[in-house]
Amino acid sequence: MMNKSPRAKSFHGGLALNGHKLESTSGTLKTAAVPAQLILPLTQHAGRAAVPVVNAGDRVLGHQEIARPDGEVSCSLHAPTSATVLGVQRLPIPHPSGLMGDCLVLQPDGKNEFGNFLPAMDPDHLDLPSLLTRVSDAGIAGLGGATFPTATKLAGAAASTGITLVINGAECEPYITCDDMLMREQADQILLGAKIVLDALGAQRALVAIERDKLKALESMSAAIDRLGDPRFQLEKIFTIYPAGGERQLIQVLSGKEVPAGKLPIDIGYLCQNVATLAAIYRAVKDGHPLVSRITTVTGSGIAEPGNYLTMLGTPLGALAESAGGYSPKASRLIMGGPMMGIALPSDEVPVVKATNCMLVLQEDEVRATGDQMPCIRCGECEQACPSQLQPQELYWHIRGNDLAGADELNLSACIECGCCDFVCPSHIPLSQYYRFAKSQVRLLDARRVQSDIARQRFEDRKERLDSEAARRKQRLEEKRKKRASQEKAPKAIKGEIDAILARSKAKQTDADEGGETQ
Amino acid sequence: MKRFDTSGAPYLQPKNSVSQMMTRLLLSLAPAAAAYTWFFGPGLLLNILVASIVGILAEAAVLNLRKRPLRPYLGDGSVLVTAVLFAWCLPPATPWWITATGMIFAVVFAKHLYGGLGHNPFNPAMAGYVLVLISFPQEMTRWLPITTLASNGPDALQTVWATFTGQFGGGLQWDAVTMATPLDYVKTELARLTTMPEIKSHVMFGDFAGRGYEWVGNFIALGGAWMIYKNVIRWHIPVAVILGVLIPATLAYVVDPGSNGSPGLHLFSGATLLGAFYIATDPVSAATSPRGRLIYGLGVGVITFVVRKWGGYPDGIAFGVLLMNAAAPLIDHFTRPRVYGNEQ
Ligand code: SF4
Ligand code: SF4
Repeated sequence: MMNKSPRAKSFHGGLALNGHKLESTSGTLKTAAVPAQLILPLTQHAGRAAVPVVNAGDRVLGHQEIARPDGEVSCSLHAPTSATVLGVQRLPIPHPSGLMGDCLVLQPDGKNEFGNFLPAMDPDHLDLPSLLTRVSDAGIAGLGGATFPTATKLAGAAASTGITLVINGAECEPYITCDDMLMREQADQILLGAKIVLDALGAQRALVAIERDKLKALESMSAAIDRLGDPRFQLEKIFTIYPAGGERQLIQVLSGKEVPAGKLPIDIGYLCQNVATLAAIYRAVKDGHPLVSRITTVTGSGIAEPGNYLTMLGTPLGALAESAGGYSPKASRLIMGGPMMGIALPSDEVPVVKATNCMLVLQEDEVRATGDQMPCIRCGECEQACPSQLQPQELYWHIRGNDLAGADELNLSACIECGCCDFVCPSHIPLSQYYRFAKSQVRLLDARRVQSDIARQRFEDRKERLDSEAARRKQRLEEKRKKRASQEKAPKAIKGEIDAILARSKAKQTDADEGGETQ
Repeated sequence: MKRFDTSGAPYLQPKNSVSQMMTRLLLSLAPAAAAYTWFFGPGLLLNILVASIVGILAEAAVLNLRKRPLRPYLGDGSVLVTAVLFAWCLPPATPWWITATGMIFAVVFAKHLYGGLGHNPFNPAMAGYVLVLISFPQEMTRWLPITTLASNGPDALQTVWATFTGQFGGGLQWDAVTMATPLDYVKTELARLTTMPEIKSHVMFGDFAGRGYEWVGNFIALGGAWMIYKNVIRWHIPVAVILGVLIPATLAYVVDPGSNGSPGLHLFSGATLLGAFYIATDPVSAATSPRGRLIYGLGVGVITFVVRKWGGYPDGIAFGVLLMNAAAPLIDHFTRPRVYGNEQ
């Protein structure tokens, strides 16, 4: 199995990037210290905010539910350790603008006492409804970065037959190695979690997709597949190219098929799950453990001892950096996620959430400069690099020209916000920032684009958030406009918005631009 | 608590820049320029010098008028590229006012009147060239012979003198030294019903095209290959332009070798190679998608051949490029790639 040649890269474009993976994979998995306070945002998943079920002053045990899901697309939260509830506070959450959000704040009591809130279940005899309930009760969301509630995603697959489960071990963004480390150290848990999902869905096939240069992960997963001895599992070596780990790109690599516009992978029979999500499912079923921690890669030249750390959710990034030996003197940029799609954070008070696969700290001179943008020279490099085979330069002209409908017609919605186009653009145009902005506008303007039920649900849940973002943006723009009113005439709404975004990043103010989801 | 600067994703530093592309393009032309100078004297370098100075001054003046910052736009190197390519198309030792006229037209009208870098629908160098070709028809055909063939040719000093005064000085007359280019010669002689084998027996011809020009062509192709290797340009346009010239040229040659130049002559004469690798590849005025670029390049090549065979000018690259520039938006419209997850 190990000798099979890797799957050819079969999606358009993409980038061969310098991986920077060795820095954080030279050691073994370490455990981050328990911080003085745990900050647990009520929204750390795609969907509606969870509703607190504890009060200030309560003592909670580890694994105790502290917030329950609100509606279909939502996720519960649990105490990572025994602690005293300090209450709900508005604190900075992982968002580039330094946005505040409601967070449950816990003060760990150091006793590390855990309760048995969810009974252990027999992984071999589990029907789909019980699995969905357990996954939901355990607060599991996609740990690859998108944090879509896993129970909802699995429920969406219930009606399909002939499903292929894709076990996503392709960690294509530079610097991030948490999945690599998990595959090296806990391969069996991943596969057993996948087996639970396969059995419950009655699926025939599980493809374990790993990049060919992750030798140790390949070796460990291959051995685990042999141990499991389940013929449904198959290891797939794939080429190392960004963004091969993106759901749609990975399916294309494995099957040659594209997910039709407006559809979900499950509509063509594919269900993708990140390796860490599957391991979390296993622990939730087998041990009754909810999701209260995750592996986070702490890396970059701004970190003294890069590595992978098993971290309690709610650990402030600053405290996590302490566990990793602290910052190096020139640390000046903090990114949650990878260098292509992550979000830059203004401060390290922000906590580790379910989506925090990586804490990347870089020096100023390693980060692309802003404000050196030149006009588009139509070189077409962006088009060559785009995995969605869009024409980024045309989208850009339309958006700049205030023509959202035109951009929409050119399939703006197919943009996965991967940033490949930005990276290759010789004119250093922040292309994907334009697309993120325009997409949020289009989504607001045109609900018809949303076709499947799940996507519609997602849309409505997102709308609320986007509305408040838009309002906030508008307010800022108003202020800026007032300030500028004496010097120049007010720009048109959309172009003005974009310019405001760009102006902000140029000025390197802490309240920069649109965030968007990672992956 | 520690605070950090923020900006939008992605954060990785881009590897490429406009100025780097332009610098690489200019560097890749250096060997060909050296070969040209070796064979035909310093005339080309003088043209480049005049065109560059005038180009930079014109660009600075317009940027000033348009209230644009000078540094990034002058520093991008695009005006130098225009200057070098324009200068390359002119006969060596072209009087400076002709070079200046073309260059000012290229920068002010062809480039900035349309909005400057990135917005010009026509290749500025070719627009400038066609203007001087039409305005100074006589001077545009005064080519110098290869130095090894012309015992009576101008020396370096006389070439400088000619560039700045229009006359060689020292009693040397233009008529005494100029020589037609191979394409020119073929065209006039064919019109006089001389056959190709007779024409090719002229001393100016080497193995398959004009002596000296062959070597320059080799170095241009090498420079172009290096640019493709370095991703400054993509292969589609050069290959398509060359095929666009070669396919009809070969057909014509096979049908009637007596009255048609050989494919080799077409490839290594005039501006075929320079056009294919350096002129038609100007991204701003060309088609963008790979399929579009193949169509665009083929068009440039075929038009070039048609002008050479039936048109009023010995070479046709400039016309091919300008005509296809006009067609580029249409080509782009009809060659849009199929987007992921969508039907065509
Ligand atoms: S960000 Fe969007 S347009 Fe740019 S390369 Fe990625 S998918 Fe294509
Ligand atoms: S890469 Fe940049 S300059 Fe080139 S076509 Fe795309 S947007 Fe324009």
